[in-house]
Amino acid sequence: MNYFFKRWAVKMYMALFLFVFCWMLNQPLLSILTQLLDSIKRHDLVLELYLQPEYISGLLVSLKVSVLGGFFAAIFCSLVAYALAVFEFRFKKIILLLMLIILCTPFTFQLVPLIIGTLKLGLINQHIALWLPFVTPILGVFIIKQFIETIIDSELIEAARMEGASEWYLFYKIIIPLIKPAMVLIFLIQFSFIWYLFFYPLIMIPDESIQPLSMMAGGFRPMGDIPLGNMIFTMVPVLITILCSGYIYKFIKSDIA
Amino acid sequence: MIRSNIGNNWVPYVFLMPFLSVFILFYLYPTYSNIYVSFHDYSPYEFFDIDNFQYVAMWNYIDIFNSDRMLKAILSSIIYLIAVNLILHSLALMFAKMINLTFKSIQVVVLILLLLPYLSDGLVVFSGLAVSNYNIDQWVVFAWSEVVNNLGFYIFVYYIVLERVPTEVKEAALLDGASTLKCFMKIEIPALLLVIKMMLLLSTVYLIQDSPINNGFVGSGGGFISAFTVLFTGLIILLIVFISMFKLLKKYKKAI
Repeated sequence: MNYFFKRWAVKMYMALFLFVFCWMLNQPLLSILTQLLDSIKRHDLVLELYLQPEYISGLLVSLKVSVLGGFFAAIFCSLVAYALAVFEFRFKKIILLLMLIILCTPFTFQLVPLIIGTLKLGLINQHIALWLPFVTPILGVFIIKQFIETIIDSELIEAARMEGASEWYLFYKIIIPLIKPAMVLIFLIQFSFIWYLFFYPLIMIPDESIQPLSMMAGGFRPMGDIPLGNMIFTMVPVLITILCSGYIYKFIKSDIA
Repeated sequence: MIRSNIGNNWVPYVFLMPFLSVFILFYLYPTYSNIYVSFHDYSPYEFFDIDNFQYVAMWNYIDIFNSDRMLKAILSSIIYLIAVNLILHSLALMFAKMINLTFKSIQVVVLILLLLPYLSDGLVVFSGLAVSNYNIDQWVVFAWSEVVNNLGFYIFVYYIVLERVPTEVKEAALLDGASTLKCFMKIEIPALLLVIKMMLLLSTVYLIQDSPINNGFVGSGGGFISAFTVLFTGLIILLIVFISMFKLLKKYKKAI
């Protein structure tokens, strides 16, 4: 039986089976790809749609908001994860416990007070309200903390301190380059989360001229059966994931558990 | 593990400050005010004068548990959570093992392909499935879209942990005549058990956010009764999750 499983033919069979399943699971995304091919045939109509000023401004707002959110999420998470992994300090256990509690609370649970708080801060109709609450993904903190604990030795940090590196220099020059794959993963997760937000911007941005793309994508249906407005909208996170796949490869291959 | 106390005492707090300020402002304070409000008589439209609410002790909770709608919602969502979790995690474990058995060169490609639905919107996946399977019951389609949407992430996690199971143990078992299936069931699953429990907790929390409790109450009826109910359902779920979480914390401190 073991011999059977180790054989080349079985590996081949598994690979084929997996690709069929990938095909099945990616069916919605594949339908978007076929729409892309369709729209290349009717490029005159499509160009007219995408060159509308509202569409371009919505796309830019969405990009701005999600890039800022993803970027700050990666930075904040790595800062916290480094502090939790390397230092011993007094309130560590309390902070970890609070993080776990918030990790376990559904987002709908704190929606009403969050909206009230944001209104009191005067953040309504401002883009900062769309990304500032989402720069603290707790899951990201735990992923990066685990990553730091597995790949970074204490000798490395001690050597840097012996040579006279300050704490900030140590973090910026040594830790950040080493944990970049994990940071890119957090960036991707947070980017796509903010990119697809619908309910939250609906409350926070009542002004129609500065809304992100997720709220107006349904409105662009010039060709009846083909929801063209959704196409570029859904393609952007996928394209960014494919562009960053090198970092995901590094994340998988560095022996993290 | 790296632990060092060299350096100033305030350094970790400087690293924590940007995260904690956002965290307290947007997560801890809302949670606190939710718990405060749950012991008071209120309506969402008067949320601005939070200090003038009347204190009613546990009566809100008693009212909730006396309504038929609540019990119905809790029962159906428990069935839903158990079914989806079971399918999700057994499929994810199976896929992780299958990827582990294929060629080294294509493993990462498959993982990234499976991660794509997770990084795209749940609504996209749901609408794609609903359009192609419009004659099937929408509940089944909803549950399956939930599975499809989250499967990639769990496969990703399980695959990475499977790679870390020490090969000596597996080789010893294989030499003594265990089959690959037996090796998987008796050695690799117990090694993964800690991660499986953590991931079960996580997936339960993520499923609750899209569960019949929330969608049923927010979507139908509307108005302030529904908002009221959602708030307290959240609290009850929170209590259940806390209990399981503390048990996990005691047993598996190193996982967190």
